[in-house]
Amino acid sequence: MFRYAIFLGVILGLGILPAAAQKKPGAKAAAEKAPEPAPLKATVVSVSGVAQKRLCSDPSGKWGPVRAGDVLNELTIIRTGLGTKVVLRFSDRGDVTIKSGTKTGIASFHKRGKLVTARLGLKYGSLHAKVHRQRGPNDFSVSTPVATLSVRGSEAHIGSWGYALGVNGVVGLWYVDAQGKVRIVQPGESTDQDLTQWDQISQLDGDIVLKDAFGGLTPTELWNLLQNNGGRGVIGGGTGGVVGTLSGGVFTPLDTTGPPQNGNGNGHRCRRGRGRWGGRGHWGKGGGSGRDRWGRGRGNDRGGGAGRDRWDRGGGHGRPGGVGDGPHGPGANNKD
Amino acid sequence: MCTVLQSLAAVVVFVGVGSVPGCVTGETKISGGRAVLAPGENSAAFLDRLSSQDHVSENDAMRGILMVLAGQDTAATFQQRVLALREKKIIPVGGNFDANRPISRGKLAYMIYQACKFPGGLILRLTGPSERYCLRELQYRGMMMDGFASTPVDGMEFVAALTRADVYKRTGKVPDRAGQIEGE
Repeated sequence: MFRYAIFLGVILGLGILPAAAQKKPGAKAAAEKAPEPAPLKATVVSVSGVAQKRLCSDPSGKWGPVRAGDVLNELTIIRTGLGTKVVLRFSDRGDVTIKSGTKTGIASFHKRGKLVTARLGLKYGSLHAKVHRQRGPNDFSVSTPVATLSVRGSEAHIGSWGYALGVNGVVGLWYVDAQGKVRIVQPGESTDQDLTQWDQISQLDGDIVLKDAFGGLTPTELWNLLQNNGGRGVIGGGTGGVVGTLSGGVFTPLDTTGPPQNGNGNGHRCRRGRGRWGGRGHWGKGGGSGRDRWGRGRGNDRGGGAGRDRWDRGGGHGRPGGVGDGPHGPGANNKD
Repeated sequence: MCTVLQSLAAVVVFVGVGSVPGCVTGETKISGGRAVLAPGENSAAFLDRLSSQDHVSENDAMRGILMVLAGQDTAATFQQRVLALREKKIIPVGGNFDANRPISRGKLAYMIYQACKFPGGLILRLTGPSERYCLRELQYRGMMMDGFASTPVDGMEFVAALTRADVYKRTGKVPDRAGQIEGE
């Protein structure tokens, strides 16, 4: 009898609980319903030099001067002249300094709950973005003709001129999404439109000052530190220098394990066809089946089928023509 | 003694030969001297207009250089711009200029080099400025991209080079690819 009572109680409980859960569909749906995005406005903090603005939605297409204290809506485009600097404040979440010779636009700027979303388009020029992460969650991104940069951290210098891109991380992490791949730029690191490893950027700059950029490490030590996320000074640890894909907010590094395969050489420096790090390296034309030091194979190396070598020679993705819109890039998110 | 004299003679010959490209004689030849541009165009509108062009005319290029030098272009015609730049020693006394011709990388580099008063390397100091070596100097400094002196300049490259030249004139430093100045 007692067993039957327990069994009956369980059956009734299983039947009552779902019914109770369904008793308040309105309350549940209301809880699940996300708040509507509230549009925000950016404020012009200061202006020095020649700066003009206009709204995309303005049919007249007239440009007006930018003055300190102006309030800018979404879809506002700003262009600056020589010797100009404009500082914008995005609510209490970020400051953007637009430098001279720049054209940029506010694609969207709104708040949903506590999350503030800001999307900027950079047609050409350079800007300095600083996001105040400690004031709340932010989703800040800058789109250029060749890449989209999104921030998890807080500060970077960004420059874009057509096909060319430069990103200097200052504080926090920046995700640079270009050509279907994502590179994470840490503080003190840089990258360009080819997502070049930060330590190779200085070599590309043509700096003839001879110096050891790796704190006296040998190539083997360098490789081991990278493989084991070593924490020594210049190399750092964590996700430094990792290339991967970003999908649904999840970053997946590409498989770069294994020692460098010297299919085409053992890294004699300055020898044509053999870069510093072996394989089809720095000054070589790409192609072949080798992998360079960073695990990049054919077509991904500087002179390869889809790469660009030091003298701007390359395959289908090189600067002269190539994919899509040539020097000016697709500019997908840059209207006007 | 003979070796010293021979070395000295070689240096003199070298400098003499190297000076030939810098020796421009004759009058300045100007084609399309009456060509005009939009009056009162500020630098923001000017850069925006040029950024989407496939090439930059010599007329536009000289306007840009005048904006870097003086903040604005007060010349009404192409001839006035040429004369103004010649007076400032930005372009050589002799020379061939065409208002509608796409400006070459070498010619632009020459004007930027003169406008920014770069010190230059050994060849430039010995032989004086030339399109070839001015371009190499600017490429070394990261102000212009790699390529030949005879290649025409497209709008985006011109905007980038001009902006960097302007920053250099104001700060003495060339910004990097992200537009950041050392120490900023």
